[in-house]
This record gives sequence, C-alpha cells and structure tokens, in this order.
Amino acid sequence: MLAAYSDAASYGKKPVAALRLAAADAVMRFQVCGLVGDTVALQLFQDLDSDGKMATNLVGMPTEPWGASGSPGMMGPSWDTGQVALDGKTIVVRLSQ
Amino acid sequence: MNRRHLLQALTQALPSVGAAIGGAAALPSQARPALAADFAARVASQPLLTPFKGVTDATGDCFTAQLPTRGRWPAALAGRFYRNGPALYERGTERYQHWFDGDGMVQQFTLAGGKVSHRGRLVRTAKLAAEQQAGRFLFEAFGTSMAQRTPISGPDSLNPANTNALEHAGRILALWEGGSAYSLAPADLSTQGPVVWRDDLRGVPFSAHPKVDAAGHLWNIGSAGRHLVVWHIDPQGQLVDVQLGESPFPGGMVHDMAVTERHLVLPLPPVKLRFDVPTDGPRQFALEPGQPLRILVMDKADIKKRQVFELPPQMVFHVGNAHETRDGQIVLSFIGAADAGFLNIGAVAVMQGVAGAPGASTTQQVTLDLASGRVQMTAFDDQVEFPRIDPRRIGLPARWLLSGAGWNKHLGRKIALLHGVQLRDMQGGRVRRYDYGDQLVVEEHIVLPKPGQTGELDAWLLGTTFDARRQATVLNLLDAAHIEDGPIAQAQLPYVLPLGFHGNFTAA
Repeated sequence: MLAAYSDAASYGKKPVAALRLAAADAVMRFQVCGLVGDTVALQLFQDLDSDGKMATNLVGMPTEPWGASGSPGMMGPSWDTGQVALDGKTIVVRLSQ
Repeated sequence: MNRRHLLQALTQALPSVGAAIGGAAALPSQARPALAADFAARVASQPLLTPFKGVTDATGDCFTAQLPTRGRWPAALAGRFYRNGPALYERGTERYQHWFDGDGMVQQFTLAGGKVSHRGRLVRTAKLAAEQQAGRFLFEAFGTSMAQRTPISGPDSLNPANTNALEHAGRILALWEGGSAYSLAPADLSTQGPVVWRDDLRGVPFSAHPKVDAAGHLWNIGSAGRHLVVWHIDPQGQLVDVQLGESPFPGGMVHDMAVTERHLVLPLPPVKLRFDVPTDGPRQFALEPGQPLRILVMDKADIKKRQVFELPPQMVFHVGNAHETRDGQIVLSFIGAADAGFLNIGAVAVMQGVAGAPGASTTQQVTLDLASGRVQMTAFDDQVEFPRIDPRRIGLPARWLLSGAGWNKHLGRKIALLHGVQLRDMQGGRVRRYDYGDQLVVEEHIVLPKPGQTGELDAWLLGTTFDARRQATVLNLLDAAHIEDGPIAQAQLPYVLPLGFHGNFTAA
C-alpha cells in the first residue's frame, strides 16, 4: 500500500493519492498521479494481514514492513521526517524487513 | 595504515586524551566507521583494554566444563550467574566507535558442588543474524552512525540485546534499553527470539533494568518517544498489566528505575538519545541546556498518579535502591555525574584503545517529600558505578550499597574503569572496600544472601574481573562481612571475556 500526503494536518488520515499493488519485484517503479503543491510525504507498507491498515503496536510503532520518503526515524512514518520536495524527480522509498 | 602512521596516531592521541579529565577533549579523529586495525595497533600498549577487542561469531560461543579454581567455593552456593554486555565490535575491517554498540553476549557461570563451569553465547538477535549473513554492519548503532545503510522497521532492527540478563520464570531475558527482551534457554543459551508479551505489544521497548520484588513480581519500564510504558510480569512470567503514560521529558534517556512498595521511581537525566539519526563521526551526547534532572515518581497501581521532582542537572544511569518512610517520603540512592563525559569520551576512548579519564560518577541519596514536593540531597565523595543491594531488600530500607569503585590509589591510572569494590553504609557514611589492584578491571558485583541467614552482610559478593597480567577473566567470590580481605574463592577462565555490564543470580 502506498499513500501520498500533502500536509501535516492530513498526514496518516487523508491521502491525496493512494495505490494498492501486489508485492512483486525487489525494486518497483510507478507513477503517482494527481499530486499538487511543493512538498509531499510518501508512506509505504506491506499489508501482511490484508486489512488495508498499517498495523501498529501500543505506542504506535509499525508492526508490518514499512517505508517512507525523506529520512524515516525508528518510531514510524511522520510528516516531519517524510516530507520531500515535489519537483518531478523520482522519490525513493525503501521498505523495512 | 603503515607503521609510521600508527606511531603518529598514537602520539597524537595520548596528549589529547590526557587532557580529557573533567571535561570535553578531542579524541583521535577516526574514519567512519573506525577501522579494526587502528584499535589493534593502539591496544598493544594498553593491556587493560584487551577485552575491548571483543569476540567474533566463532569465539562468541564458548564453553568450559570446569574452570581452575583457587580458595574454596562454598557447597551451599549453587546456581547460575548470568552477565550480559556488548561483545562483538568488529565485522570485516569495520569497528564500532562506542562501548555500548556491540552485539550482546550472555555469560552463564554455573556453580555446583564447589565447581564452576562457564558458557558464553552471543544473543542471536535479528540484527546479528542479518549482519552475519551480510558479512558487514548494516544498522545504526547507539554511538556509531552507519549512515542508515538499511531501512529499519523500529528499534528492534537495531536491538543488540547487550545490557542485562536475568533468569525469570524459567527463561533468560537478555535486555537492551530500547527494544524487546530476547528469550534464551538456560540449558544452552540458545536464543528463542524476541518476547511478545501480547500481540499488540510486539516491539514495545522492555528496558534493561527491571526490578524483581521478593515475591517474584517483575516491574519494568520502556520508553518510546513521548510514551512511557510500565510493565508488570507475574512470577510465572505472564503479563499482569501494561500501563501507558507520557514522559515528562519526551525522547529522553530512561535507563533504570527503582521500585518501592507503592511506587516506581525513575531518574530522567536531561539527555536525549537519537541513535536512529545518521551523524558524521561518533554520536554526541550532552545534557540539554537549562534542563534539570527529573525524578519521576509514579503510583504502581495507576501511573497517572505521579509527581515530578526537579534537581540540578546531572547524568544518571543507575539507581541503588528506594524505599518509603512512614511519614510520606521516598529515599532514593543513585549514581550520578556532573556531565555526559563518560558517554562522549570514556566509552569512546576505550573502543579506540586509549585510556581516557577516570570516571566521575558518585553515590548520591535524595529524600523526596511527596506532600510538600521538597527534595533533600546528599552527595558522597567517591568514584563508583554498578550499584547493587541485597536483593531481599529491593524497595525496602537497605543499609549497605555495593558498588564497583575507584579511588586515588593508583596514580596514573587514567581510565574510566574501576579497580575495586566498596560497601557504603548509607546510614553512617562509612565505606569498606577492597582493591583488586592496578592491573585489574572490576566489573559489576552482586549481593548473594547466604542461605538461611537474614543479616544484610550475611552475604557473598560475586563478580568478574579482567586480570591484565594473566590476560584472563576471573570470577570472584567475597564475603560481604569481610570485604576488605578480598576473594575467598576464584575461578579463572581460559579466555578473555569482553567487559560486560549487568548480571543476576538464580539459585539452583
């Protein structure tokens, strides 16, 4: 599952674009359409339990493999660490194991 | 690096570290990450630091059925003594820069019938398994930045399970401050995996200094960003309860805690740990300007009932003990230092194979008045770490505080490692101690009550030392009532164990 957010207020709640893809190759490339503005934060997770949500523990840490744009910290994705410039360049998101 | 460059590095290193006493100083500049060869060259002239070479994947699994002994190991002393500490520091040509980074290795000394055996084994964490397979370090570490080579799923991606070990409800818990406990089998120290206390608690930090009360109930804390978690595990190893609260100093270090009959008492030094953030060179730690040392007192039954006491800023790792008085006060003993110099300098210097500076942490006692919020503080003049008390008196009044200690006996020993053990009378202030000598490094010692006896000094003291003359790790037993006489029994290992942190004893 991939979601793109455009600001802090909607982060984790209301994506401006979302994709559901079958996990396939080690490296996957795809286009995300419909983004506007100067910044974006991408959030990716592998939906192992197929419930459409990123599973988290009591303190909100992801318990399914996840990744985010920017410089993700160890407590999970956030707008602060995830926001990157939206300038047409490829954004790399790496999935944790 | 050729020999001439090595000598230059050495001569550059020593003066700067000599100036490090009492304050920040430049350490030898290091490639990032440090090269194993640099340490090997420097440690040749620092025999006390040999244990910081650490183990390999092969030597991190060892067993000796019967250690040669001296003196007499009492037949009444039977059980398993566990210790844990960072142990694997190098992979390929790379070397961690900070003592706290190494992968954990649990040591198990089995005492039975006057004989002593030893088994040691690396904790097979997810991190260790991934790095063994890759043949190189993959993850950020506590004090060494690896430029985030591998995306992390959470603190457990970095968890080296390297700080403490205790046997509880039939399994060994290998503990680290920021992640899950790892479970190991007492029979052979094989790693069974991270402990999942409940499905929604997967990966929630279970820190390294739980306290087990006289009835066998285990209390622990965990911190994650702004969250503070309190764990209560029953004597059968089942989760009784987990409580979720907020830290009064979000993102701060939460290392140790004390328990009393009704309360949990946590020193919160004004230090933030951000070991998931890549840095250029060794990670820096500092007391946050303008921030006090907080002591958080929480009601065990409902952690929302709490009080925060503010003290002058200090670095604190470890508590001694705490107890409640009849007039509504909590008395807490702990070990504190004026700055984070040990984290920044001492624990980095030893990894470089240079001596550094003596430690500067002292015994302190505070009385916290719950009604008025007032604090009374006593600081003792000593140089100590690794405080322990009679385990039957955890949370109750205890008179004697055991610590590893250093003092002005061996002038020129400029090293943040201890050479003696001391028992401090927390009521009268008197200190009784034993000096292992200039050529030894003293590790944590613990208090073992003698079976069938109740007095606080009717106890043995058990702990390891590294003997630089023999280049061997030694297990020592002292009589608490005669600490000045030194070991009454010893067992020598045929190898050098990495210097570890904390341990606990389980009677057979």
